[in-house]
Amino acid sequence: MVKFDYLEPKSLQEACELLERHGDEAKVIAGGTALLIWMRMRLLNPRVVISVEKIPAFNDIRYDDRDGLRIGAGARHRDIERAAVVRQHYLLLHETFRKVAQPRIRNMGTIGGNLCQGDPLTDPGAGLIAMDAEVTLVHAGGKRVLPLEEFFVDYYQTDLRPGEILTEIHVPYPAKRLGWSHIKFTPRSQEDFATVGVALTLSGRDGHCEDVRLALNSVAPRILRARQAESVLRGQRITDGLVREMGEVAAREVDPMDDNRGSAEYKRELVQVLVGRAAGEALQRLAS
Amino acid sequence: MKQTVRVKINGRLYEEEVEPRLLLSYFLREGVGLTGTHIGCVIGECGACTIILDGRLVKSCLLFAAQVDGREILTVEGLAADGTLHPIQEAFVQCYGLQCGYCTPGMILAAYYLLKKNPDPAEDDIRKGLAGNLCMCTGYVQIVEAVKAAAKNLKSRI
Amino acid sequence: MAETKYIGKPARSKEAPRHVTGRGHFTDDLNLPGMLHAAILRSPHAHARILKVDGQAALEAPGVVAVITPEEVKQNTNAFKPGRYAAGLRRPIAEYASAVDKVRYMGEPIAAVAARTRGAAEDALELLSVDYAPLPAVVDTSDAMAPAAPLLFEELGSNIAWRGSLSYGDTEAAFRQADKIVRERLKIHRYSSTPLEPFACMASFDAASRKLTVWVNAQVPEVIYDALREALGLEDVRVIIPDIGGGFGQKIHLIRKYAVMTSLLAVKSQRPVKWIEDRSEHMMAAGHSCAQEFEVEAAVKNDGTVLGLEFKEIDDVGGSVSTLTIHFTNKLNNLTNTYRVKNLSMEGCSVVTNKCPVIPNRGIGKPGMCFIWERIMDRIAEELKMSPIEVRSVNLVQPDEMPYATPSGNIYDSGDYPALLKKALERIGYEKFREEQRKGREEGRLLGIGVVIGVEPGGRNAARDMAIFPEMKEGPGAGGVNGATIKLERNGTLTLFLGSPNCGQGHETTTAQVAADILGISPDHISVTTPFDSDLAPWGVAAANSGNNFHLYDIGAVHGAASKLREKILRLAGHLLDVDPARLVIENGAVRAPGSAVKRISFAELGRIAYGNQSALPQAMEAGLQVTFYYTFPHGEPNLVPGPDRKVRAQFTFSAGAHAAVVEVDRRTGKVHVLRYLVVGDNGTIINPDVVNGQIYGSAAHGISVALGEGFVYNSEGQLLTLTLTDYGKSSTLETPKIEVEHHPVPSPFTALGQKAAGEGAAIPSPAAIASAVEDALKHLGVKVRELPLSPETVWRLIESKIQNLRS
Repeated sequence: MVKFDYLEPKSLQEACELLERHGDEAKVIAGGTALLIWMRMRLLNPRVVISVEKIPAFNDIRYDDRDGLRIGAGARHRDIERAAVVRQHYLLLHETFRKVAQPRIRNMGTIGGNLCQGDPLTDPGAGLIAMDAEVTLVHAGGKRVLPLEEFFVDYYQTDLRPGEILTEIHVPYPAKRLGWSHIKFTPRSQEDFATVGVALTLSGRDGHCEDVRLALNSVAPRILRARQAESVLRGQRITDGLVREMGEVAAREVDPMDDNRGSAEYKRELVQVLVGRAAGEALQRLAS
Repeated sequence: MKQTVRVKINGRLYEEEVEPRLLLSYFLREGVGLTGTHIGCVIGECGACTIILDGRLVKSCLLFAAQVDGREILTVEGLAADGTLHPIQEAFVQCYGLQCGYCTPGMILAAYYLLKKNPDPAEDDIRKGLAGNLCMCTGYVQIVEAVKAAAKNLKSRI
Repeated sequence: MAETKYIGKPARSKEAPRHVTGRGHFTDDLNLPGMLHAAILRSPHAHARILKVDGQAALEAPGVVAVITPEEVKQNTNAFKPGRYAAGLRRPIAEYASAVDKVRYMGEPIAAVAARTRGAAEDALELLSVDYAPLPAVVDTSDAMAPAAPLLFEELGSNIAWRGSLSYGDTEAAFRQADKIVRERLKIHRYSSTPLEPFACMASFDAASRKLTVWVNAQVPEVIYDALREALGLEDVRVIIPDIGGGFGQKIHLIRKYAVMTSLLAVKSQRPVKWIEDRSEHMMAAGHSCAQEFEVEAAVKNDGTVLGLEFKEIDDVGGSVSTLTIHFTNKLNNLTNTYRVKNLSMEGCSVVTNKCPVIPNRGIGKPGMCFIWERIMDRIAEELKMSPIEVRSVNLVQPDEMPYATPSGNIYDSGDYPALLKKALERIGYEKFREEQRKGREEGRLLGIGVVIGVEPGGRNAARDMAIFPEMKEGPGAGGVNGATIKLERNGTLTLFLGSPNCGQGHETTTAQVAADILGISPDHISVTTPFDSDLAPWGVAAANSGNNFHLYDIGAVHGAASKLREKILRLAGHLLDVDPARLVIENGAVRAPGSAVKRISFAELGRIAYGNQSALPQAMEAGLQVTFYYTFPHGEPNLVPGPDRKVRAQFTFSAGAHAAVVEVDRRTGKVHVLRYLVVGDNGTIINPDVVNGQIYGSAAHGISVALGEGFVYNSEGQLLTLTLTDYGKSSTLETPKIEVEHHPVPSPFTALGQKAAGEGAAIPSPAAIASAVEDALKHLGVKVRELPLSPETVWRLIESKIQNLRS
């Protein structure tokens, strides 16, 4: 990879100022697992690499009963997977993060790094969107908060503006009774990127769906929330027929590519099958 | 512009000047001279470069040397004490848990990390714990046996 | 054979201690003072003319000491002489270490840079300026074979670089006498064993003495040795082979290009140069196995007997003619598999395409031949409404026919194929499984079982290819030769020098066990030296860690050397103790006369005398206690060198294995789960059971992974899409089933210890076993499995197309 200068700001303010000063020439590094690979392949050639590892509280995971979960962008996938509050209150996230790559990557890769990369093949985004996550973006002059589903724009493109650093992911306190499911389909190795990833949550009682969230990865240029598919089930009595329809609508709503993990046609088929299976799992969890 | 890296490796403190773009794997192999950490893919897929950083299992090819300033590393060379093999290493020898040996340092550290977290793993747990370490020679069967034997060795050592 | 203390039992691994402590000696672990690092520029195009390469800017870059361009390679090196891998090449096609006028595959090496640091070398690559004139790429064999297809080698006039055929017995008569002709079309894809350690080479040239020393992780020293001497015109070449991190046939052939390029940089820069390739370079350019298409016809009787087999194959050999026919010629090794068929004809066609050249990956051609046989057997069973087990059983060579002469000239030394099959069926619970399968179908579960059988030939015959190419002008030799040296040290321990390199197959441990039993001393007191050093090792044409050579040539050489040393030890001891050597006993590193407490002499004392006390030596005995023995297979006739009837001993020993695979197919996603995988093997006398089991586990695991989806994928422009191990689809611990192994060894009457091969092994039948199991799972839908790999999408499509047909 090309030569670069390595800077280690001690505060968020300092990091934002450095980023503003160096503009296009700089990239932020947290865990570095994705950034390093791109730099090694010379797909990204920053002259300045700004590490956020020394910023205090950048990888904290905090929780309270009303506000919900606040995850510092520097938190490792492994820390999120294993956090007691996640295991207790956010089972869908625990399941999602458990499946990210494998332990060695989860020990190093951060959630902030993952989200900012905007890679539609990766796992965390769908689970977080299904839990109504929002992200905080800070720059030298201020900050803004954005729903995660609006943060992903296109292949490796997010709404991160020049000079901004993603600092926190906020996941609201979940509904009292929530059915959930996360399915990651890989054709060969379980350590691979998903050919199709599905995250689904359901709330309701007595066979009636009050609300639903369906998020999918690897089947469109960005990780997306399948709102049209959701509307099939929302507010309705849950029947096998409606679940099947939700799967069919989701299969039409996605926009997969032909690649060596599968043809677009096959991926649409998988979306249909897996959304159906996810709904089944979520219903079981809702009932129990 | 070079960075100074002060890092403890296998209990010994090293201080070196490095180019920021130097990967940790190369730092260990060439800078420090510990060639047990191997490079199989250089993009974090194969696990041959696995080491333990501040008690966590990580891939050294996905870290810049500069990122480990002030931290502590364990490589495979740090396991045997005074020429006596660590029980995990001994288990790999006895159970024939290797063929060409290239994946072995990474496998052993992955086993070390697994057994620290779960001293009594079932076969499934072992396979999950080693899933990030590829081996092209063995088909994994004798590696799994070695980890089972290692678990036994470690338990009887207490 | 007599009860042995070490042979046949587990033994503490000699290799493992250095590897578990991270002290293996791989090529990249070695450094020389003043060493430079090399980087290689590779073609981004699948097909292009090289118009100009300008290395000036790169040469002026900071830290760069030498640059080589195609022009210099053409001027300063000689083209490689076509070897037996290119047998059949009718016109000489020059192939150099780098591309010279044209590139024919993405990743083909073009130029190289040597610099003070790896980073500087990589930076300098960007400064090499190359002008290409891109050409249309031909990627599929059908495109390559089309009449107006762009030509890879204009001088050949066609992309069909070779055609040929071979016939044994009378297939015409067989097909006339048949009750039925069963036909099938089959395809296998491009894959590789992807060793974890990539290619690595370090070269050092001493200009004063004109000696080139090269450290390289190559499996066949002769290939490197010849390549360096011929390409660089050097007489004094030393090839040192340290620990190799996996070979599997990947590190035999194309690696010679990089040894030459690295050496050229060393000569030019007058400094040692090290080159290590990247994983993506390995995927693009280290070599692939051959994708093959087969049209198969079997002439059968109603009782299942196969009277004759005919097949035509199209081999996609990639962008080089240097490995033109290996996937065809190697089929001679297992041509009739375990079956009695007397009439067989085969037609081959090698097509060049703009993809990575093919190399002798594990089994070469033999997995394809076994796939042909085992798929056609299932098809015959289906068409004759017999069980697939019955069809196989009817055709098996019987144990009382051993040694068995096949129509193509092989002689199967030993084996009990019916017993292997029987044991496999028992251990997998075949009948019980059929019941579970039936129940499963009622519940909508798709369970399937595949049972296949295959021979595993061993021990190379250098004359084999002359059966197909009798016009081969330069005889490649015949049979095989390799040596071993054993030395009793003056402290009473033993040192063993082997004649070939290894990739971790337990050669040190295994040979020490053999020597230990012959010389009555524990393997703990025997040290086996690595690395292979061409200046010191006793090596011959069979010094190749490939083709299942070790069990025959290296064990044979060690056995021979140890036996001769034993004889000399007894003679010397007999002289010193004044006892008839025939009465002496060797045990625990000493020689003694039974019944006497005093007539005893230790190895250490013998060593001291042999190396230092000439007055104590018997007259006419050469001093020293060191023996070098070169082994050749003593039962090579008949058909060692093929005659006009084209019959040849393609290989010399024949292990075999019956495989049983149990799978479940997810109907909706097409994903295949392997629930059980069993191998019942006959590897003859087993010297070290852990080593042999390890080879079976590893080769089976790879074959399964190949069948289920690992493989190379190119787009229509010849760009390789699978550049990483993840994209390629390598299986981890989670996808690899727990392989079960049972042994049913039948010793060979032809080898010193009855040992047969264990290496390429389970990689040969395993793809067929998975194909058979998946087809069995989907049989009731009418699905036929003809192609690999069986990725989820492929299986899903197979199912869907049948369901559509059933609906309409």
